[in-house]
Amino acid sequence: MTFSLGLFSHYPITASVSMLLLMIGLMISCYFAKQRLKHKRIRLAGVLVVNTVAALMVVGLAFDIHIISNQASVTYLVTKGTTPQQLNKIDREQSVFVLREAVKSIDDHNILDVATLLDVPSQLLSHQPRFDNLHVLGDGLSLTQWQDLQLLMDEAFANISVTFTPSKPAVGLVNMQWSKESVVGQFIEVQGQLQGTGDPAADTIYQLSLLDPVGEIVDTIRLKAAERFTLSFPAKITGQWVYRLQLYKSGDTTLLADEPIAFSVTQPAPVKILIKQSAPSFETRQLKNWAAALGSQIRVLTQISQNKDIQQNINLNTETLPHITPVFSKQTLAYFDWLLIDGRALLSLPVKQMHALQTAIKNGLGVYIVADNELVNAWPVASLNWLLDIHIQPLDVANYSAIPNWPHSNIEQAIPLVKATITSAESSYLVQNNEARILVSRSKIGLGQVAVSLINATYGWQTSGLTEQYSHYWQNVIYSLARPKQPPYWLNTQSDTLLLVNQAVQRCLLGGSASGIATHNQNTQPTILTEDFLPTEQQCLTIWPANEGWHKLAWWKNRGLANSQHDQSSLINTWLYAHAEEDWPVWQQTQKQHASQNMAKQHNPKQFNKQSVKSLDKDWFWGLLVVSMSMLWLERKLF
Amino acid sequence: MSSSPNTENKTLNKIVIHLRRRWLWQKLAYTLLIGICVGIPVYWITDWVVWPITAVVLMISFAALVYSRSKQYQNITANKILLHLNRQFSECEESAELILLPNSTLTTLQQLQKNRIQPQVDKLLTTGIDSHLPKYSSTKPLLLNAIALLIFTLLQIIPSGLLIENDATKTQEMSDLSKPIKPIQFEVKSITVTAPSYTGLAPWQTSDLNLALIAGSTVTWRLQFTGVAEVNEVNGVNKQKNLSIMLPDKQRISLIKQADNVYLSSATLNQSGVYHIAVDEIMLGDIHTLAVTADTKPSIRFIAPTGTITELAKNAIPNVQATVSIEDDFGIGRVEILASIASGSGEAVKFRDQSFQFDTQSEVEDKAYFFKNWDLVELGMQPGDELYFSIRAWDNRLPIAQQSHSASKIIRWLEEEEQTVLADGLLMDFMPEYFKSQRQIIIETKELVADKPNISIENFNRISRELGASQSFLKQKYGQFLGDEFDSGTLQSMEAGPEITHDGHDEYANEKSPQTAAEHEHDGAEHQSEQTDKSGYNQIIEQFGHAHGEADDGNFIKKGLPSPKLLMKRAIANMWQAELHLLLSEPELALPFESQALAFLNRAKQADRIYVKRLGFEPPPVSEKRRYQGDLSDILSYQRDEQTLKTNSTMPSMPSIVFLLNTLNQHSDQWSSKALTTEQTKSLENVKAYFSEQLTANPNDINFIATLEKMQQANSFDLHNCKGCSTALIKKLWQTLPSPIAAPTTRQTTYSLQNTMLQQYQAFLQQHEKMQKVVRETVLKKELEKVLKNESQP
Repeated sequence: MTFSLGLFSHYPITASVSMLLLMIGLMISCYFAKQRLKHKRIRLAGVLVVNTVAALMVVGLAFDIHIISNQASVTYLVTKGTTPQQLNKIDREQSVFVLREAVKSIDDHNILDVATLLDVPSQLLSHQPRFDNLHVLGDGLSLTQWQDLQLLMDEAFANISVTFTPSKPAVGLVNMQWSKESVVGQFIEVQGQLQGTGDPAADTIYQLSLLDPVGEIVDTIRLKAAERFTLSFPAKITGQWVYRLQLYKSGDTTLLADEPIAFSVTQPAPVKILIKQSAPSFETRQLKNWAAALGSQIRVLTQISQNKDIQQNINLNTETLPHITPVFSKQTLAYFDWLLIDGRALLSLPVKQMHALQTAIKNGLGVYIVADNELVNAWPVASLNWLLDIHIQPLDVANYSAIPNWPHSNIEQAIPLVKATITSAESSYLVQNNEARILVSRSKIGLGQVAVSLINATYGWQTSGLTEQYSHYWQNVIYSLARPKQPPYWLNTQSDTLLLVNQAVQRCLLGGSASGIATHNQNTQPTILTEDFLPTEQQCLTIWPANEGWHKLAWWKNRGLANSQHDQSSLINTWLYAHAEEDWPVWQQTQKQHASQNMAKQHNPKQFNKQSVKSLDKDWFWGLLVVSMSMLWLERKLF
Repeated sequence: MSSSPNTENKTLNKIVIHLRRRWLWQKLAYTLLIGICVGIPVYWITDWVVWPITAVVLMISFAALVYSRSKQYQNITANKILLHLNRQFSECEESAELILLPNSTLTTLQQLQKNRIQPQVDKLLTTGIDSHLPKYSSTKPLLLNAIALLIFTLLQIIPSGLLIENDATKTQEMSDLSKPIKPIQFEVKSITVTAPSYTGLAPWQTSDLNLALIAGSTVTWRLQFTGVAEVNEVNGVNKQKNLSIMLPDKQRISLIKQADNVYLSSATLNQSGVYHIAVDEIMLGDIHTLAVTADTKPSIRFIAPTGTITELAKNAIPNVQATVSIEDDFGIGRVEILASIASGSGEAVKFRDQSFQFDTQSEVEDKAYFFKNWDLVELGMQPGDELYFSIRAWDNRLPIAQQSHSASKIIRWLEEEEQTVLADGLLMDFMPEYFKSQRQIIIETKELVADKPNISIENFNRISRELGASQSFLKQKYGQFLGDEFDSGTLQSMEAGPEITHDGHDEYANEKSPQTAAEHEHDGAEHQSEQTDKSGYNQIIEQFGHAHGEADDGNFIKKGLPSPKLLMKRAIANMWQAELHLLLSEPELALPFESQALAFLNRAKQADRIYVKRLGFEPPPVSEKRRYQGDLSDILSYQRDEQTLKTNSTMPSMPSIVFLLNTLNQHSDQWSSKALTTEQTKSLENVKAYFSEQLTANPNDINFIATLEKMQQANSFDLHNCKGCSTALIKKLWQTLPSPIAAPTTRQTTYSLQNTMLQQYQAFLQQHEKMQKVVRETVLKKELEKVLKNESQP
């Protein structure tokens, strides 16, 4: 047991003086008590004892009393998933803390008799502000929880040693990825991995089914533990949807896992398309009809004579038209997101327009060139020297057709192609055939992208009823090539994040104005957006979703619009889904174990401190002092 | 500090201390009572134990301090006690207080008195005068403390339910005072469904108000109502309640009272919908469905002939057996055959319409089979004529039978001679005498094959080549009408028959036979064609199709039948192959192609007749006024602006379906708390209309209409009496959605193109590129100068 000066640490001499005064006071009070209670020995003895106790309590309050033990002090933190065997190994003499979420899974309730329950790990510090050795059992803590602990402990965190005893891995889905935001028709790709129990001898086959929001099975695959999987499906309609992944053992009806796949489908902003063609064609006509029906703004320039084009504007704002009157100028090209042009029209562009096109591409315009015999035979073209990373050679065959492949395509019939081959220095492509030959190449030039395509008969899909495949092809092409979306917009969530209730989530808006205001549908007050440090066009907010389910964030250009809520054109929405704490338990387990293992590696248990110092709790001293003084006073008054 | 008694009389001092103590205990006991009354409720509220006890202890301590300093406490003195004794004991002679006063302060008389009573007072003090002193009893406050503790303990133990129940009982008693009105209820006694008599179905009964029946069925409801009479009495007016059934399309039928509170009503139903029972037009009970299945038309299926066109050779037996199977859900009424006979050709074709009956009919496994034997001679037909016939059948529905009409079948009696082909206004008039006909070529080829063992090889080859030349002439003759140019001698591979490998080429490569020239010619033609145009068909296509190398057969197929032009092209393609093999002295390989060519030729000849039959009009002659003169004055602008409406023409209800689906899917936890908005009500109405349109095809959709109707009636999405209905509706709406049509969309970047850093870097790259270009040009120029300099030097 050691003493430290405690209150008197700054002026040690006062400690001695105080002790002396206390001794003197004790002696005087004992004398007077003796005088008063000369003939009452029992009362005198009691008064003397209580008096002495009170004096000792004063000493205890004034000084800090420590008890040094040669046994290492370990703080145990029991998390969810801790096994009874692990619990049995806990030294009950040490401090044991149990997270409330772990209580359900602990069968050994004896540990709860000596343990302190915590709602969150950082509460540990309010019970034990200092500890040297932390032993975490079970699933562990998440990265956020470790960060909170580190933040609260500050520099002391670096000096603690961390030991982690993980729980047994459970069968379930881990390392999941899927895009949380999509548009109609876009394929949602769900990737993940099936975690097994870790038993290498286990050869169980599992069945994984993807169900749509009404419970119909969309796709089913069979896989073994540790195998990766990918399931994909098209987003059917706008709204916020929750699909489900269900895991069974093959041939068994027991549900092993039933997890939500939540994503939001929105209607995309209209794309601005420019079509320049040397002659009308079915291909551009079908493309124009499809894009126009879905709200795109389109301008079609069709050559009708050497120097004349007819111009068709669809869905273009009458206010915008005067600004893009020169049909193929730098200004006009800067307005559009994507240009489709056939080979003949490209070759016949005058020098000025070719320069304008080149500049526009470098500034972000996407271009899709439909190759034709003229372009193929004229290649390489001097005026297209900025596109010389690709090589086009004519093919000497009667017919040339192939089945085109692009991500998630399911065309089964061959389509006629322009009789040529395309090779690219970087082998970059958008579409290829079954033999890995490029059908649509892709080149990056500045901020823009250019594609050269041998496919000129996709209209056949549309006319034969394969509208889904037709629209998906062009959506894929436009998505890959066109100028990126214009801000302001909410940045998409990372595909591998898992948002849980009562956890902080940060969402950022790109290109918002300073007067803009963000709201959360479950909060009456606006939410604060703070400007990011480096990309200053980015503003971020943090929310803590308290409820499971969908949460809507909205951004308004200014407060007036937010109050009126009538002008929907000034509103930019995004949705996020907060999972319940019970969702994705195995994935959460993996994430926590990973974070805890990393933390244990960084905080080497070899630094284990083998001696512990414990301070006596001063509350007891205080309490005893009050009681003893009260007793002395009562004795004086009542008897 | 409190004043302590300090008289010389120790007994008196003790008495004073004792009294004071008793007084203090009494006060502290009352203080404890207050503490208990406050502390225990605090414990109930906060579940704290330590703090309330500590507070009570401190309160008592503080109270002790306060009381001990109080006046009342201080007033308990020896003097006061002696004064009290004066009143209680006569022997004190009202002068007991004198013993406290010192003699020096007393008068002589007082001293004498003091001396006289001192022993009396001493005696009194020693004898025990407790009973004469004030009690200051703590019993009462301690008892109150005990009672308080008991009450609080009882409150803790007795469940609160007992207390509340008493209130409920009271409420019930109070409510029993006023006489209640029993609600009107009904019970289904029976529902009788009688199908139309022509169906032959027996009437059936049910007690389920959701009915599935045949269109035209009569439904009779027998319902027993309770509470109607009581309601009328309570209302105090002699006004009868109007009981009725509200059928679809706002049709209302009254329930007529019979005996024993049984009400009857009847209606004939022809369409699906929802209905409910109503009292004074207020809905009673739930919404019920009527799934009405319509009587379908008869279905006609040809067993024979299977093909649309049946051809009989000129010399074949002119008899064709037609067999038809006709099915109906309830019965077939009348069946007849409509026939039309076409005679003649070209402009002189004549048609004769006639109606026939089937010769015989039989029934096998509930299917009726009808048989007709067509004797073409009996019908007055000759080779070259055609018979078109189709079947009309009526079912037995009353009052108006439903009719079905089958597809047409054609029986063609072929003739030998080739006839002119009229296609698209172009008259292809053939055959000068010196041209062999295709049929002639076939006959002679067959003869050559048969004679092969009997003639020499030279003769065989010569005859084969001659036949090949004839085929070539014929092919060119036909081809000219289609605008083919044969300078390049292209091979029409797209329309050719099955590919045959030309292995024979190598075998004849070294022979110096006359056929070599033909081979070379053919090879040369092929080689040339390989270099320029592999397929002569492409030449034809280029004349009729679009630029950019597109192939388009769309115009050649009209109403499911190939046009004469296409058939001619195919005939020519086969002629090419036949010519090839004949020139290679392979007449047996040429025969199939020759036959195919003939078949296509005949079809081409006959196709124009069908064209005339079906359209039956003569195109007007081309007017010069309609030809373009190159006048552009009518062209007002080279620019056209238009806006597309974002409506789904195939499913105009789609926006409402999507809206409703999103609403039901997202906000299921808020249904019970909110009434429907205007937009939600409108979407329910639109979706209901959509399902109503689909009822004929999907009678089961009536259940969803009922769900929507219930939601409208309840003015809420939350249906208490049908928990699974909303889930089923969501599922149906989801399944109604068509396959997604992907929309054009752009990708997102994590940086803004207006980012200053990005723009500066882009400017840097552009500058760098310019500099590199300048450097390259400078280097090139220097090299050029060097080269020129070297060249100029001798």
